Amino acid sequence: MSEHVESLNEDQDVIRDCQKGKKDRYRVLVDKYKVRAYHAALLFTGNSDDALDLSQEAFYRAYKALSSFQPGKNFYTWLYQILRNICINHYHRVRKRVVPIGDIEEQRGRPFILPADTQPDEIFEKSEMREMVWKALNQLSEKDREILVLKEFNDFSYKEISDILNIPIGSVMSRLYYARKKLGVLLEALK
Amino acid sequence: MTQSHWTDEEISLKVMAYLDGELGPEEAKQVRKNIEIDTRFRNAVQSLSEIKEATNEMKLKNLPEMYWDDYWKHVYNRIERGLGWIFISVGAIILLSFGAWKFLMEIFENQTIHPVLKGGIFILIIGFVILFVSILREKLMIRKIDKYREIER
Repeated sequence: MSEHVESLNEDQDVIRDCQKGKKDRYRVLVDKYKVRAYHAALLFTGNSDDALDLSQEAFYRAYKALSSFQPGKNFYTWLYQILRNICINHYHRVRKRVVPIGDIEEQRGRPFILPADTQPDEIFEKSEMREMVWKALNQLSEKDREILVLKEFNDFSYKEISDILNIPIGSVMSRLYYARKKLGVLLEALK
Repeated sequence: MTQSHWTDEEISLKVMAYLDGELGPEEAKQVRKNIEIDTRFRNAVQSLSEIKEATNEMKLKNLPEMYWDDYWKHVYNRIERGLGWIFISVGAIILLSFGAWKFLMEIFENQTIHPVLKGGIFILIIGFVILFVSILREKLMIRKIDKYREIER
């Protein structure tokens, strides 16, 4: 726990320095969170080039908006929210480009996290369970998939998920529990 | 503390928080004790562990090291370019405003231009100023209350 607090304090120090105009200090935050941000973007885009570009864009926009960063907040959770918005916009932009105009409305409700039209081998390392878990995840609703992805693949705590989704911790727990339960049923059926 | 009155859902939520490492040391100790003595706790552990094992096996793909080496450089370049655009915009606004001011002074001091034409230009400028202030005010007001302002439109 104290390690976590220490890490948050270090982030706050760096942010204060950046707000004073020390651009180079931002590198500490970029180096610390670049892998997590890239992976988070990869889960949205299913494409490594886009994930790299969008995660770098998120760091840039976060830097631009550092003056509005509230002291005491978790930097990575805040960055993730910016990244998530960038990825959603990217998703809709790409869909508009490739989908005939008449189908855009139909596409609007389609999943944007772990998109079904990507292949699991673009996102995950080869493993025994990969295909099965991928199939099961893609049968879940967007809401269930999102909370599972936040916990299982982005490794956020309940508190962080509560901040990102703007819901109480109790709701995070029950949503996560039911999403896991549904995933378990689907995995059982796919065995 | 006995949890015999707890529903299966309450037990599952507590066990889930324990497996996710979300409980404090005291609560975790209590759950461990309950797992030893209560089958309902053990069943919850078993069903949740299977799901966690399946997702834990899914490791996200990593990039080759060379991409990480250049990562900061790319972010830094974007920051620098962003600053460049701000300076270009401010410079352009100053130059255009100065040019417009000079142009207007030229027209209004020129005695050969008909007063009706001067009046027309004056009204046109007033119209532009009102329009500009109105749009600017609207944009600033929306920005203040728009929780989706980070989303690119």
